[in-house]
Amino acid sequence: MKLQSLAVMFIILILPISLVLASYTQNRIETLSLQSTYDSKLDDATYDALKAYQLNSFNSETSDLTNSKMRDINASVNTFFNSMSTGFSSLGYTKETLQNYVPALVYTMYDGYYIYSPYINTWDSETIDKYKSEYQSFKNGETLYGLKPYVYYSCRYVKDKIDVVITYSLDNYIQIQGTINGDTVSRYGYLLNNLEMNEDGSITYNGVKIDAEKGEKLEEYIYFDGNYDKLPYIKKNGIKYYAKDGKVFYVLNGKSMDQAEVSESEISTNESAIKYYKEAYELKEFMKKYGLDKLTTNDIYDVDKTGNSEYYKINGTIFDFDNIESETSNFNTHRIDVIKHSIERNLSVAISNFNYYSGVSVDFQMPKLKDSDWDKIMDNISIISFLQGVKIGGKIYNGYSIITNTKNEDIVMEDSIYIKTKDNVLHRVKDKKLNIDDETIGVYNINVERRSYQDTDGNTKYYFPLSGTLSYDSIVTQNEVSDAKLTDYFKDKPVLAKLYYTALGRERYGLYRPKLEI
Amino acid sequence: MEDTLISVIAIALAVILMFVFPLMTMSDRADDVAQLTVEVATTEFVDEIRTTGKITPDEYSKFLENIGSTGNTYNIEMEIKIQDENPDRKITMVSRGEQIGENAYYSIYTSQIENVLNADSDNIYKLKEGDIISVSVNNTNQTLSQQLKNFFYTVIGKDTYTIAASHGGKVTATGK
Repeated sequence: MKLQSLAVMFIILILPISLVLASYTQNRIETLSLQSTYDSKLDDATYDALKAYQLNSFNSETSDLTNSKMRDINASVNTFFNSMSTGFSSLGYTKETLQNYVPALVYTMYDGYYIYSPYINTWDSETIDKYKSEYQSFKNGETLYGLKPYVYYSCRYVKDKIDVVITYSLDNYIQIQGTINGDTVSRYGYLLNNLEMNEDGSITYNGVKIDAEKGEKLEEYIYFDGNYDKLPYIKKNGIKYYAKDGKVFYVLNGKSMDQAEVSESEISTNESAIKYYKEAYELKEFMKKYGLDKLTTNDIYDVDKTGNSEYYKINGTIFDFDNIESETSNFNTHRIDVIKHSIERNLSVAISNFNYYSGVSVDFQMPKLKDSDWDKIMDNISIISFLQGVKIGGKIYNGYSIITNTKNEDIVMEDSIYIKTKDNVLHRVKDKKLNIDDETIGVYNINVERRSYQDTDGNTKYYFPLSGTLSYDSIVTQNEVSDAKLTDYFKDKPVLAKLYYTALGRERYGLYRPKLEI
Repeated sequence: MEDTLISVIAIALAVILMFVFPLMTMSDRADDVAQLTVEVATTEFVDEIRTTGKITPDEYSKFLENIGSTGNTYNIEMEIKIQDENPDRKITMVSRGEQIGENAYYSIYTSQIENVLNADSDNIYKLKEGDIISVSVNNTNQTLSQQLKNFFYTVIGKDTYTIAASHGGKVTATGK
C-alpha cells in the first residue's frame, strides 16, 4: 500500500474518534461549568433571602417575638424562591415548581432552628369545628410547605438526682430546665469565669469593675408620633424604652405607648451591664451548688437505648469553669457537638422524607457538610439552602449553600460592639488607631443600621438611630485591626476593657430571651 | 524526477496528517480541560471569599496551585470594590430621611491585595458584607495548540489567549 493511502486510511479512522471525543469533552465541560454557575446562583439566592430577613427584622419593633420572626422567615423564603426563579434563567417557573427541587431550607437561630419543608396537614374534625369560618381552603391530608416547629439545641442529662435538659446557644448562654432532687428548676444565663463579687455588692469581670452607665451617654434618634428626636433609652427584653419630659414610653409602629414597667431612673442610671454579670455569677454559683458542673458526657441520656453515645466523649467535666470561655474548652467542644448533632439528625430526616413529597424521581439525600461549613453555622445565625435533582447535562445537580448573617438583632457577638469616640467616629474594639476620650462609649453595631418609618402622609422615610462616621481603618476596611485575642489585647488597656465589657453586658442583657419562670 | 517530487509532497502531507493532526486535536482537548480547571478553580475561590468574607494566604496559594497544575502560566487580576457606607448616611441625615444616599465604592487591586497576603503577620485580607470582589484569569504563555495553530495559519494576534475565566459577586459575610 502506498504511503498516501495509509495516511488517508489513518485519517478516516482518527477523524470520527477525535470528533466524538471533542463533543464528549465539550459536554463534560458544559456540565461542570453549569454546576459551578449553579453553586454561585444558589449562594446569591440564599444571600437575597438573608438580606430580606435582615431588612424586615430591622424595621420591626417586634422582630424578637416568635410569630413576628416566623413571618420574617416566611417572607425570606419567598424572596429565596423569587431570586431562584430569576437567577437560574428559569424565569416563569413558579415557586411551586422550584419547590420540587428544594428539599429543605434551614434557618439556624440563636438557640435553635427552623426547617422549611413540606408536611402533611392534619385537619381533623376538632380543628375544623374550631376554625369553621376561617381557613376554609385547607384540607386534611393535604401537602403543605411551611416552617416546622422550632427545634432547640438541647441535650438531656441524667445523673443521680439530676435530670435536666440544657439548651445551648451560639454563644455562652444556656438554659437549664428539669428537676434536681425532685425540685423543678428553670435557670438562664451566660457562662462566664473570672467573676468576683465585691464586698460593696459591685462585680468585677476579668479584673475590671463594672459600673452603671449614665443615661445621657446612651442617646438615640427615634421617630414617634410624627416627631423625630434624640432621646436617652434603655433596652429591656428586646424593647427600647425612651425617656422624655419625665415620661417613659416605648414605640410601636411609630406611636408612643405608655407603660409602667420601666422608671425614669432606670434610664438615667443604666445598670444592665451589672445585672448581666450578676446573672452569670448567680448561674455559676447555682451550678456549683447543685453539682451541675460535675456533669460529663457519660451522663447524656441515651434516647435510642443503643448503648453507644452519638456524642463525642470528653475527658473531664463539661462545665469546667476554669477555661469555660476559651474556644477549645470542654464546654465549647460539647456545645458545638450538640448543635451539630441536633441539626444533622432532623435535617437528614427532612431531606430523605422529601422523596415522598417531590414530583421529581431523584433520590434526595443530605450532603455531608464540611468542617468549614459548620464553622460558618456556629459563627452567627445563618441560612442553609439545598438544591437537588436538577438535570445539568450528564449529571444531576446536588448542592447546598450556607450564608451567615452578620447583622441581626438576635445575638450580640464579640465583634458586635463598636466603640464610639467624641468625634462621632465608630471603631471596632481592636482598632489600632483608636484613641479613647472621656465621651467614648461602646455601642451595638445594629443601631448603626438604617431604619425606616412612615410619616403622616404615608411616605417612607429613613433614619439612623445612631449616626456617626464608620472608621475607615477598622469598619469600612479592616486594615488596622489587631489579630490578638481579646483578653490579650486588653492586658494593657483597662479603660477600653471596661468600656467594652460594659457595652457587651448591657447589650446582651437587653436582648429578648424567653424565660420560663417556675 | 516527477515521481520523486510527488513522493516528497506525499510524505510531507502524510506526516502532517498522521502526526500533526492528532497532535493538534489532543492539544486542543488539553486546552479545554485547562479551561475547565481554571474556570472551576476561579469560581470556587471567589465563592469561598464571598461566603467567608476573607482572603487567606492559604486559599490564595491553593488557587495558584490549582490553576498552575494545568501547565500554563496565568495573569491573575483581582479587584475588590470596598463599600463606603459613609456618604450614604451623611446625605440621609441632612435631608431628614427623604432620600437615600448612594453607596460609594473604591477599588483595591491585585498588587495591593498580594502585599497584604505576603506580609509576615496580619496577612489575612478581611472584607465586609456589601463589598464586591471580582477575579479574572487568562493565560500568558502560548499553549501547544496555540503554537501549532500559529505555525499553520498565523491568524493569532499578540494579546490573544485561549484560557480565560472570570467570576465575581457581592461578599455576603464580614470576615473576622
